[in-house]
Amino acid sequence: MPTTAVILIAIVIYVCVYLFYGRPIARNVVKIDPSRETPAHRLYDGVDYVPGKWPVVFGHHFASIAGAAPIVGPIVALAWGWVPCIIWIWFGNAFIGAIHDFMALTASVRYDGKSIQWTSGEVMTPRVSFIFSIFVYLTMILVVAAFANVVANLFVGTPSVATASLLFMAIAVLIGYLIYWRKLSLPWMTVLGLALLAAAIVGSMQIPLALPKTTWMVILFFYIIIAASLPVTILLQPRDYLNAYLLVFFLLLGGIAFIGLNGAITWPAFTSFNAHAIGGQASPFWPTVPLVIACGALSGFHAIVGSGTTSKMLDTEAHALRIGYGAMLTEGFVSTLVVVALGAFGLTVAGITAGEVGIAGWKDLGIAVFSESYAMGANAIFGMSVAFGITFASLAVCCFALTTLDTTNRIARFAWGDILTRGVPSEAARKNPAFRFFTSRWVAATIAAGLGIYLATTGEVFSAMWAAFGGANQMLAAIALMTSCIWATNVLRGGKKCLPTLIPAFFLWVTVAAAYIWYISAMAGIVNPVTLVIMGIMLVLSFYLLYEFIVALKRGPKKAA
Amino acid sequence: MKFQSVWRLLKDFGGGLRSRSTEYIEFELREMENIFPLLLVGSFVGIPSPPSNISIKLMPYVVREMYVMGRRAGDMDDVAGEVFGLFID
Repeated sequence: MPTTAVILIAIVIYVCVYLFYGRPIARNVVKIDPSRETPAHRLYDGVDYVPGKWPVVFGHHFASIAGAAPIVGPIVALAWGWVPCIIWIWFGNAFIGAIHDFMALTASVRYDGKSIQWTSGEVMTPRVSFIFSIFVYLTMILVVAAFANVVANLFVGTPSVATASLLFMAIAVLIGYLIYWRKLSLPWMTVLGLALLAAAIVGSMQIPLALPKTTWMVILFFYIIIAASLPVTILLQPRDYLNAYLLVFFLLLGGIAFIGLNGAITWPAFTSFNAHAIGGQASPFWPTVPLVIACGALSGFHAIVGSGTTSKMLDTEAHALRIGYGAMLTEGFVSTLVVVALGAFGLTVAGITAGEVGIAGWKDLGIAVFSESYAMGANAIFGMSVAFGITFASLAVCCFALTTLDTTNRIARFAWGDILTRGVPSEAARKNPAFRFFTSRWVAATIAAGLGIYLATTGEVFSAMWAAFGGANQMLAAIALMTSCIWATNVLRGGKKCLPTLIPAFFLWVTVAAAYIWYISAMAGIVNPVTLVIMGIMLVLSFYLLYEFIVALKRGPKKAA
Repeated sequence: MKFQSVWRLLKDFGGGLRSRSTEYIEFELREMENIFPLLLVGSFVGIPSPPSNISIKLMPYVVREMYVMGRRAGDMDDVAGEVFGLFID
């Protein structure tokens, strides 16, 4: 099938779903009312609650939800063939992911900008909110493990990216210094930063930095701790600022290239229901696909971002659909482009035949294959040098992953303190030196980074580690959907079931719980036992959450929002 | 005219992407804003500086800070949600 046809089908599906599924839900379930004041106006304080123009809020929300995950997931999932992969992306986007994001955002808007975690405690029980924190913390450890693997694999597979990433950090520190300390003009410093970045990509191709994976893991361990503890203006903020431009160029270049390419997809459409996708083991497409394609189809973190930040910036409820629902569809479109890129060039770049995909002994494609496929597409349309394109695409993915790692450890540190504080309610016990030691900044940061990197270095197969992160993320999404479902049923509809949230919530919970059970049995001996213990804890907690969900559903309306 | 509105839309979208990078600074700024009113009117809650009479004299000038502090005090049961919202995946 031609690549352009797939992209056009995706656009048509997304537009139809937005108009004929998203809009009716906004109108009939949430009863969006543009005249109702949003928290950004009602609680305006110029600090937390500030209304923004919808494209600004959309860009802000999209930058928060679009990291490396929508790119990495489809790379691993292609073991099943490109058709099941793309069907899950589209299906997951339309009926689960976008609804999940939209409902979390609107629930937060109706609850004065409170987070989905807080709402879960409000519409179910405070215990659910506490378990939410535990889930976030455990997920953060798996995020460190999965994304450290992404970065280290990239550095080993394409050593020039390691050089480019280090140079990028140096450039970010320099630009930050010039802007914050020397007070030089932001536009000129932006131009300088981008010019230096382009030079760094070209230069890094001449001086690749080749180190073993274990060495990179050790470096990443220290990097994560230091980056999470440095003042943000030194490295993180200027790097994220330049990253925004990288994201725009990456999406624009790739989007135009693969829309205009019109090449043929040579990747096998379907390999087997039990392709060897995760950890080299025969992995049933259902229920394991959400463990692999996480953020491209749906993601639990989107609810956290949407309800934590975006809801406080919404100018009017009328914008909620295009931001909550629309941004998720846009992210799904990014994943679609990844599938198309690998579908067109993956076999050639990886040097394999269609018959070899997903069979016993199969290892995931690796991001390097995606980067080269991306570069070939950009070369075909723009004439960009393939070597430059590879480093550029790899650097973009690497920067997304590094940004995720930076934020992860900061948040994990906080989640750790939150769990311990809520778990130890006694003031006297909190004065205990042991409690103070374990909640201290450096210890909290080291625990999450150390455990994550330990899991990353002992999990030999990347796809197995990635699936553990995906599973945690998807169970978070299930909790958020359950919360939205209870809110919609008990608060918005006076006890009348809300099927557009009930069906996906229940379907997702059953799917992910079944996938956890499969993972724990199939990955024993492949991943570190600690990973299995973490998955086991999450599985037990998820059963408890299901119980709370059913109780809240049966209980019916409690009070109006 | 249409070109201008498309350009403005793209510009705003780009601005939104960039604004994501300052979120942590904004978070830290908010934390400092919390400390500021506490320093000014802390004597009411047991922080011994400045004396209450000075705090009362300062009050008309820190209405906004008092409002923000009051509202944030109400959000203390959702601090974790705010911090988790800074995550990027």
